[in-house]
Amino acid sequence: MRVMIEDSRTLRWWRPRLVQRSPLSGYVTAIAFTAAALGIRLWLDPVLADRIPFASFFAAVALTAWFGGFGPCLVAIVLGALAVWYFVLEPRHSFALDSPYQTLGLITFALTGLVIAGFSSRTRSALRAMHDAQREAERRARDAVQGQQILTTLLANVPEGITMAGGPPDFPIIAQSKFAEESIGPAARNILGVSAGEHIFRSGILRPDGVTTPAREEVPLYRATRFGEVVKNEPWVLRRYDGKPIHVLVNTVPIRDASGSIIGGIGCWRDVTEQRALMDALADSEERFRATFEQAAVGIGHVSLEGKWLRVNERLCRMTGYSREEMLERGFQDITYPGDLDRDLVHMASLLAGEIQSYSLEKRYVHRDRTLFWVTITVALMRKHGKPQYFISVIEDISKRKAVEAEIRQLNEELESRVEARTAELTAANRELEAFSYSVSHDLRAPLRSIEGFSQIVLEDYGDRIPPEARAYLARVCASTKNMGQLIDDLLEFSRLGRKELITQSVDLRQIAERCIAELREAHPDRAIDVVVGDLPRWKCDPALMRQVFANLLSNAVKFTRNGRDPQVSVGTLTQNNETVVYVRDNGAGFDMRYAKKIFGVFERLHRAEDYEGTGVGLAIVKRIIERHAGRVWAESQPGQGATFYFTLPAPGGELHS
Amino acid sequence: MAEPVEILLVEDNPHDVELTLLAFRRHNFSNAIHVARDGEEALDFMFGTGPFANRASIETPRVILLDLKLPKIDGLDVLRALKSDSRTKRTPVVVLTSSREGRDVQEAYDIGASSYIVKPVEFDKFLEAAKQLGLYWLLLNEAPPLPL
Repeated sequence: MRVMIEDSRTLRWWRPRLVQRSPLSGYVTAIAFTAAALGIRLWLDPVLADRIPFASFFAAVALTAWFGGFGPCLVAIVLGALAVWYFVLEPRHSFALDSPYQTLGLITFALTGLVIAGFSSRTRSALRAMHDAQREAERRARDAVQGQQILTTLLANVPEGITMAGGPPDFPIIAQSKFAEESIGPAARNILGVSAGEHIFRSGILRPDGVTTPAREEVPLYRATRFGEVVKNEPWVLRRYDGKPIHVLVNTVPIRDASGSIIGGIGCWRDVTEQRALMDALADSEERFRATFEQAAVGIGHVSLEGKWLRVNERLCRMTGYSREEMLERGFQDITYPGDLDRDLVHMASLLAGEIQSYSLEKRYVHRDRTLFWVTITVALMRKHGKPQYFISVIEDISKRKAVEAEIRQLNEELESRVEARTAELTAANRELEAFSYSVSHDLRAPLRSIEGFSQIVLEDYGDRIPPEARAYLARVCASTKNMGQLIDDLLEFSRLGRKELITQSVDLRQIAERCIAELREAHPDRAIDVVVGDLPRWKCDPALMRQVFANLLSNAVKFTRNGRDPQVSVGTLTQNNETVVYVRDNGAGFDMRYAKKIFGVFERLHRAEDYEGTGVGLAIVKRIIERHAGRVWAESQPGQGATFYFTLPAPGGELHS
Repeated sequence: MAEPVEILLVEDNPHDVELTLLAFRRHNFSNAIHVARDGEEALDFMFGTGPFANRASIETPRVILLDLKLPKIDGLDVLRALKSDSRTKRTPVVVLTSSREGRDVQEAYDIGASSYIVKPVEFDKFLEAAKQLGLYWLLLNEAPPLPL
């Protein structure tokens, strides 16, 4: 704009100065022109003498009137008159006048000058008005162009859906933002001229439910143009170019003229689909956290730095018996058992000092009904930008656990006393058993001795007086009593094994086996006892008892091989299922595997007494000893094919030595 | 009693008493045996109390054969009483019993038994035991000095 004004000034320099930069400049013009006119008059003076004294000064007045305006023109008249008066009219260089013509000339000059000033002034006013009108017209034209440009730019770039309707009776759509057109796609094109309200059905509008189509009267721009309604942030659903529904918020206003009549309307909409999704997500998240807080199976509460409950969940309320409102009026100190408060406060101070991140402790709460109950609380401190905000407490009611603990404690005590009682009972039973064995040992033997003794006396003292048959019977009585004596001894031995305490030490089983074999050889000097002793480990066991095991098994093997042709006995170890198994094998009489289990029973015998003597306690003793060492014992055999007796050495027995 | 008692047999079982006496008779040690049928009688006999109160001096047998399982006062208690009395503590006491219980053997020796013999069931072994006993305690063994 500035540039254009500069241009017109330089191009039309001859134009009168309608706008003076300074009022003085007009007067300077007046003086300059007058001086120039005086110069020219004085230069022409030799030619003109005192003729045409005012000629150049009229020019000065006229030029001053044109360029300087009315005021400077008056100055030019006065200066011109004085200059002519003083320099040109006789007598020169004085203001005296020679003739009345001179006076008349001056007056004529002044009057003519005034006329020139008057005309010039009028002309200047007209010119100024013309100039102003022209400038105004130019400005308006410029503004119009600019306004059109702004509107076009706006509609092309505004990131909102804007639709503008013209006036009655149809209120046609007269403008639409490019954003709207592009968002809705082809359906929104060519709606210019369509009546407001109808236009939107081209692009497809749905009620906020996203399903139903509204009536024309519901359409916001229709309501604005027809009823003058102002619609603010009304939710609607539009269909996007790709068919996807978008959620929009619509604003519409009517446009009114000065008299208030509706002459159009503007509708704007904004796509809030993303915001809605965000809001929904936020609401979901909020809901989830609320649910977590509320539905949690533990009590949760937020506690202010002063100890007031800020938020409490349902569970905590139920736990304490207070309503939510009652809780919020209280502090955690009010419901904590006073004796447990200090510990809590110490930890809270540590939390605030940033020394710990959280803490857990067991303490008692006071229920609304004044009863105490145990809880575990876990407390953390919520900080924002490093500044403590509130405590988060998670509270678990552990009354039940405490009760169970107490019950367990009591049960343990009861159990202990019961164990004590049972131990006492067992001790008593053991003592009774001992007394019983004592009786057996002592009292059963006495009558045997009588029977045997007196039978013997009869045989010895009166043998010649009784028939030989009776003597044979008495001999049987003696043999039987002898046998019974042995039974009693074995039975006592067996029962003693159950009671005897194991005294274990590391024992070389090979040495034990060899000693047993040596003893067997001594006991049976008439027999060539050949036993192959294989690898036998060192084992932690009761040496006396283990010796009995080997003695019984080896003597059994020797006993049952005595009728064989080539008696062979071997003892050694083998490994079965990671277990060390000791075996004693013979090629003697053997037995039927059907009775394999029976063979370890007390007084169980698989052979006739006439064939192989024995009380049937030996293997039972073996079994008892091995089982007391936590091992197992079993036998494999076939009648006439010999027998193998096995027993395991359980893990604590140690390892094989080379 | 004309001759001094050489053996005090403390035994409640009449059969055992008879068999023991019979055994000693067979080996000719039968002359000076006194039989006490329970613990109380044994102590009365030794200390001259009860039915033996009218006796002038206390008995000092060469040996006492003591069964353990006795009516009234138990054999071990009899032994204890004898060994804790200065008048009788030197008298050798041989426990002659049916019990093979290790506990009994141990306790008997602890209290001061001189010997412990398990009565054999077989009669011939029993006879042998009686013979050895008589030989040892009546002939071989030097009797303790009389109490002061």
